[in-house]
Amino acid sequence: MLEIFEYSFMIRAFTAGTIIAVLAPLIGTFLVARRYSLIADSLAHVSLAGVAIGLITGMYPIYTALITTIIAALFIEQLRSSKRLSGESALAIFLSGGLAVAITLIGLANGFNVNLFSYLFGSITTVQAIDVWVIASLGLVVGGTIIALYKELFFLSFDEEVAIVQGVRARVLNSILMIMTAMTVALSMRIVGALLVGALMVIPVVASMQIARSFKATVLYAVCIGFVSVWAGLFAAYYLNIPAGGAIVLSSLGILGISMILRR
Amino acid sequence: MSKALVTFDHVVFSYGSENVVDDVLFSIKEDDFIGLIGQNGSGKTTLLKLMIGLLEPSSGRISRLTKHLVGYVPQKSSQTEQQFPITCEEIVLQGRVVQRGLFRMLTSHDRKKAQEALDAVGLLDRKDALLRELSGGQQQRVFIARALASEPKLLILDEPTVGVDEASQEEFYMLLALLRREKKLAIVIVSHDVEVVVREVNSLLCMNRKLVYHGNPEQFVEGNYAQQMYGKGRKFIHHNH
Repeated sequence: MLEIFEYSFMIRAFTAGTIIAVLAPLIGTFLVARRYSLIADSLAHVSLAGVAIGLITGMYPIYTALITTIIAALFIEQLRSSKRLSGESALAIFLSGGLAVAITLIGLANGFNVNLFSYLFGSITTVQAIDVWVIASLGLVVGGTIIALYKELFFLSFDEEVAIVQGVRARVLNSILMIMTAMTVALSMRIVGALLVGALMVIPVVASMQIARSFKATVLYAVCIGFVSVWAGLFAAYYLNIPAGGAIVLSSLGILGISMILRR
Repeated sequence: MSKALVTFDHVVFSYGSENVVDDVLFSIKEDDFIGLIGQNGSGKTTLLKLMIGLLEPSSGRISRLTKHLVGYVPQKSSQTEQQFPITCEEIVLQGRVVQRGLFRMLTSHDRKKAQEALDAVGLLDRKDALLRELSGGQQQRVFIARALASEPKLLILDEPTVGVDEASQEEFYMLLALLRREKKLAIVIVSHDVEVVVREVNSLLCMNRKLVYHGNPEQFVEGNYAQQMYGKGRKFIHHNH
């Protein structure tokens, strides 16, 4: 067996990473289709505020991040659907707002330390067994929900107005998609870090769009590209001793480059 | 006698205190081919949204013969992401989503319905083509096929001929005639291109907040309704087919 798999922390990183590699591009496809890919970044910044709450109160930061991010996601969806704000400005406000809350809370608690950095940029050495369990069980919920609602989400993401006219329950389904997005963001933070979550949701999808010949193929290729990026990134992180989040995103960018050349 | 599919009963819709649609009263019957016309700001888009159920009336009543009655074709690719790889068949299958119901996978029956719909608009051989590879006129047909796949009784099209050249426009109206004949569909088209609409449809709804004209297009042309609405100097040429 390869030396890399003799370390239990690497096994944990690969397990959690593989789940994220499947979920992030799966959700990302629907977000890119509705030109809403920036929501991942906004929610990631909000999730940092959740982490800050966790670090201060001593609660498990993934839980506090999950709750904070889900609430923010529903709030953004409410603003978007009521047309009080344009989707874009709502995202911008939540992006900086989330970060501002995080910095203030952490500053108040004097908590700028390594622990915080692991949430910002991801860290494979600090992934605990409990992280893997939470990521695996909630990952199952997210994946199952998306598959169960696949055809409705597909219709809504392409043509919301027509879908509503035909009787698709847009309000409920959009809220569910936002909750699933929020959960994926919060769960991905451990591996790729809050600042790079958005990339893992978007870049594999855009790469896949260059070569796919249907929506279904776009989803499948995106998941495969996500998987290859995460594995390549984790290997690189281990052997080159570089941060995993950066290595994963650079791998996906490399694949995007290749797919754009293939398309020409 | 043909049944009424949709009935507007003294329908009012207002934004704030302004009545955009004011006391509108009419019904769409099974064999109708209606043109809905009116200038910008005349409330015709609002009336359309009321018809398809995207808006609810502020007062009055809209009754529909059955649920899932309407097949809606929006303005040319107003929403659909053009860059995304999506096949014609996948677009048309969207029309089967609600018919199939939540938590159910689309079946071979749905595929058959989708392919029949593509066949009806003459694009079955392009079912695996990507939407972005089709011409504007062909894309329009794909969206009509999606509406057909849901097996509607009433087809509503919003500005279907915007940006379509004259030859395709003629083909488009031939397709509508065919659908009316073979699928027994009622059709409503919303258009600002009055001159074309009046010679194609067999009933005309003309909006200016209120319903200012409802009747056959010949009388609309012969009377001076058009001049009242669109100002003097517009001539309507009556074509005998």
